[in-house]
Amino acid sequence: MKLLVLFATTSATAITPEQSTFFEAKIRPVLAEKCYTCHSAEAEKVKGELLLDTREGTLKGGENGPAVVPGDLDKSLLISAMRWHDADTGMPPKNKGGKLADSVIADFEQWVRMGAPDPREGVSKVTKSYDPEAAKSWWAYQPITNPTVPQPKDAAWAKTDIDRFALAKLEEKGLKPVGDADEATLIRRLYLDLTGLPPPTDVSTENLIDRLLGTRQFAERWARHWLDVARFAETTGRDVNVTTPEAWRYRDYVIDAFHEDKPFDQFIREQIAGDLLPDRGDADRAQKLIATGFLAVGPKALNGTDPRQFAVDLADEQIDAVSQAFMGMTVSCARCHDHKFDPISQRDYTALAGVFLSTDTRFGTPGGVQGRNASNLIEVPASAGLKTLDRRMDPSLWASKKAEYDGLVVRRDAALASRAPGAPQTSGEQMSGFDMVRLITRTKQVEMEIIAFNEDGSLKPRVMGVLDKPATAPVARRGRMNTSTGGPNSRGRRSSGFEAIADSPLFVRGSIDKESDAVPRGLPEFIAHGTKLEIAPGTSGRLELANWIASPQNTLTARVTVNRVWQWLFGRGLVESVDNFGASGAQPSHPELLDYLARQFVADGWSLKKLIKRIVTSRVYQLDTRYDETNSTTDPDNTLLWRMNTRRLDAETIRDAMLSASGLLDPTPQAGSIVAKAGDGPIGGERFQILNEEMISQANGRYRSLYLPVARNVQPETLAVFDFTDPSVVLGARETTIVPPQALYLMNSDFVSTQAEAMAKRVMAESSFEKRFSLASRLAYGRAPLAEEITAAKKFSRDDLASWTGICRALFASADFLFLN
Amino acid sequence: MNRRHFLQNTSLGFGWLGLSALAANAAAKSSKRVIFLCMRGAPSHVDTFDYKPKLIADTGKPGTRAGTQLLGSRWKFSQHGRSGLWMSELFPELAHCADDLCFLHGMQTELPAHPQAYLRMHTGSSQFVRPSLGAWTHYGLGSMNENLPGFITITPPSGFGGAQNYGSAFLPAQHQGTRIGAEKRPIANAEMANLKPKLNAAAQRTELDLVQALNRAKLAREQHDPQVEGLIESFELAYKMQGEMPTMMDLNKESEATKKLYGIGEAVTDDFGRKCLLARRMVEAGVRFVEINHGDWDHHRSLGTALPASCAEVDRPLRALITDLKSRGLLQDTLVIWGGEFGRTPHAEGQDGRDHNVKAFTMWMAGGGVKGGFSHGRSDDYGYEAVDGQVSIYDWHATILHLLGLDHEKLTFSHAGRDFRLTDIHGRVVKEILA
Repeated sequence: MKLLVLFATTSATAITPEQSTFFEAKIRPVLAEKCYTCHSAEAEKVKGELLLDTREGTLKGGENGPAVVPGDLDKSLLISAMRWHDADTGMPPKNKGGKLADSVIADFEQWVRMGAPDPREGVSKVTKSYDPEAAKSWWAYQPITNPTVPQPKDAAWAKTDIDRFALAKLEEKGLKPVGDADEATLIRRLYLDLTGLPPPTDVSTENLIDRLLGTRQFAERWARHWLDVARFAETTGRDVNVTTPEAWRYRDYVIDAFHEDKPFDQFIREQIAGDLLPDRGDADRAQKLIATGFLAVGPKALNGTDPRQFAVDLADEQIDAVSQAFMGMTVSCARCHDHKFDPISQRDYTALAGVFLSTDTRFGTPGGVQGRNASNLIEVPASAGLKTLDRRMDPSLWASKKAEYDGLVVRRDAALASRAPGAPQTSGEQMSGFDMVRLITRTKQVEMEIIAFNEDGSLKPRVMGVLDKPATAPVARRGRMNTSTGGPNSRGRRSSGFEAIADSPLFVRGSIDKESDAVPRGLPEFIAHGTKLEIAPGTSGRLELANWIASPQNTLTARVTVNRVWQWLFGRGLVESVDNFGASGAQPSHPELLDYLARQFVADGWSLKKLIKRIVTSRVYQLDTRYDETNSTTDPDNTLLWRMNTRRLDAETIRDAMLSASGLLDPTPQAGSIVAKAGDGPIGGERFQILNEEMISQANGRYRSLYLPVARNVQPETLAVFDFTDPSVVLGARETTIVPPQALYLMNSDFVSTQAEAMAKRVMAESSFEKRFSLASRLAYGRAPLAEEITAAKKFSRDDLASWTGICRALFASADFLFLN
Repeated sequence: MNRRHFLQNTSLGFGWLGLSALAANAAAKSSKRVIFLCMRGAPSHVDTFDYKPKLIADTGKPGTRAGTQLLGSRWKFSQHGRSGLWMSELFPELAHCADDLCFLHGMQTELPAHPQAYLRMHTGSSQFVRPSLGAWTHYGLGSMNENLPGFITITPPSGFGGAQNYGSAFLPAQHQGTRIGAEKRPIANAEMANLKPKLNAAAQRTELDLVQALNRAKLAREQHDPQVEGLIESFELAYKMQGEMPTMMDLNKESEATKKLYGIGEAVTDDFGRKCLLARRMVEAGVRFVEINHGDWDHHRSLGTALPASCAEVDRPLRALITDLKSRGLLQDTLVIWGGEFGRTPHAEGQDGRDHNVKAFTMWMAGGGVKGGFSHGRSDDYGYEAVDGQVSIYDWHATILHLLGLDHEKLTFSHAGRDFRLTDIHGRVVKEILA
């Protein structure tokens, strides 16, 4: 309809015979020959949503705006594309023959000046793959409803409201839920889901759910879920993969938050803007700074040669993490163009980018040749009482390194001065560029070695996090080259240009070389439903952004959160695309239930523990995993919840459950990790010997998996083999694969053998084969053995340590251990 | 886990996903497998395969970067084979294969820093975490031998993006590369993780039978459970892999003549020779994509001694690999690719070195689907910048996929709300080199 209206308004202009002749002779043949392949209804694939085969299409233009503005050469994109300034925007593209003859371009210029007379009739059939207008009606952008709890026909079955929502749907389809899980199965399910550890052999069911929710093991288990979402890692990843030895503090902050059941809205606000929240003293402020580590622990390409590009990429990564983690939105799709599926424009993106470009991210990595984009950490006062690792530097070593550093600085500065334009040839050391780089690297390296320590050799309390940039930029330094940034591709840029709080320019097609007007900092217009960001003067706007995200009015945040919790308990979200609530994501299987849970969650003060309890006390959660042919025919994927899903244990749980069964588990929380203890340096290569890839991939120990190092690009084998998260992306639902390398690991690895042997010794303390196997079964499966299992084991066993080790290893390799029923 | 998911994520789901990307033109000659010989550190093109007589003549004159001097190659170039390809004397052995080689003299990449360019070459992006070329290939074509990994990478570096260079990123995990060995450690001692059984064969089989008895009992109780079926299958596959991998890795199965051909047993060529022979054994056994890493070609200094040393390590094994593949009838559907992450400057760095150059470098291909004895593209008279037949990394990726019968615009994977490609929104198949 809209197109027809447009057509009507543009067709009215009459054209003269001369104009028509000109068009037919000079313009149409060129369009047909050079443009229609990609820009006509006949094109195999229309590029840039631009059709040039009708007058209407030409005037309307494509994704970048009108192709021709009659009479206005400067505003006619067709003309500027034909003038061919560069390979990105020049038309026709290089591989289609490149720039046209100047005379042809002159014809087109003349045509536009004439008013672009165009006899072609017809409506452009722009088959837009997606309509952002329509996307506004997408369910996730509508306010959270207050659904009435349905009254299913079978009034006796439901234990909770959750059950009523689920049963009502099942009844609609004529399905009946399977029976309840037996007690042993349910106890194992609760233990593993809530704490990530198997039940003890002398388990008591009294007040079980509340007891489990109160343990630190619960917090450790659920913190790990959140760390997947927060793409937490202790190295920078991407190109040079440098360690961030203070990242573990954020991990511990998350554990503490889950342990004390910090209201989730507060948890969100602290992670985005903890530095801007009021605090109750130094210790509290330190925790809130650590919370903002969420924004600092993401992947980054430290070796990037252009500081401006680095800054823009860092902000982009933060936008991506914040929007996906808290709201399930892929906002960073709009970095280079308006979002293809969701009502988020490039302007909306830029409005958010300004907030993060006004933020000073302190990730704390050494500089030098492979880490051009260094940043300091945030030092916190001793009064904050932060624990530091017992990593120390000998005071005399510190003193000698300090002396070395002072000497290096003098040499470096002199050498740099001698290279400055107009410097006398004789000043400073004459050295090759290569040696120069080595000198700078060494200086930075020594600086980073000593900066982490006090003069007495103790580690300084420092944290990763963010702060607002200053309200106004300091006066630029002059006359000295800052060589820790910049490089062959930085076009001589020495700094990012984002020194102070400011709005971000819109980068055309996401390119930092094509800046357009600045966009005021703010919220994505549509998903904010008209809410404006009232940014306090002189601040970045992060606090206001955090408040908006953590608000009950936000249509996404509470839904996304309860849905992830559901996914962590059922193996599948009510919305299957847990990290994508946008229009390219999924519809909820139970929209009313989702909204009911979201509302209750907010009403319960955003309490995660109450939400979890609400779910695990439902009868739906407590169903058996039994197969049912009738139900399966109608609903093979169990989207309607007629049974509990069988789930393979995740990587951490498999490892922790083995350690539990063997009795070797050390449940003590670990301070730091091997990355934290190693200090600063790049993983991989020869410069950093304290910690190499091998040490990370082979990292083990007897403590819980949560405390293993989390590095990007290389992960502990015990976790990697079972689909550990990719810590470079926000991930609310891990992949589950079942592949031969896992079988090889279970059959042949040292770790599994060690656990199996320790478990074998443990069960052999019992007096008979039956008692031994019974204990083994309870340790591995959390239940008494079945007759067929006893038979199989008996056939295998010679009742010696080797056989029992084999039996225990076989139990670890079997489905009833690896899966959660 | 629904059925589609299940098939994607277990060993049963061998690569049917990429089928829609198979190029429409099935008649086109296409390769079935790839051996990528990755020369980490960036070899000098002007000293090896890109003959620049004017550069040699103008040695000592000012280079384009202020204060530099042009440095012509000190190694003699001559023409080889019936095709008359120019190659320098640093590759006397490979020169015998001139008529099989297809030079891409117009290669270009973006950032003149090793980690970025190395990642770009492997994944198309240094800015974002993306699946690697080998993972995309395996995703597109699947496995040819279920008892073996479909994508193996031999002695990759731990830096320069590390495991991302053979990772699967958001593609399902079974498409990621299996690493054997590590850079700077001899391949002769390398093993695949957890491949060696703790028990003798009989004892292990008995234990495995217990595992399977427990799992079959479970399956019987559940009536229907594809995950348990998948688990049972994965153990059998692992067991076969455990038998087949060591055989594939065992170079003692080869004749003395073959080992000699590859230069195995001779100090200079032993390591790379072993890698090449392993690669041949792997593709022969049905591995889809094999990458061999060889470093370090980053010759900022001592070009005069270090470059010939690097070349000598690979020259004879390269010839051996091509001839051996050919004599076994494998070369016609195996794509062999050679090259590094960028090239080097025509001007000298210091007295005897060359700096990074992203605007022109040479890579070559041989085998399935490419013209032999052919040169495509041209750099300027000094080798600073490609002036004709430019090939970007996207184009290079598009061409490799095309040679494997895959359409780079259709080989997509849906992730985080959109379809991703190896070539993002770029890439042009270099049709000029297609046989």
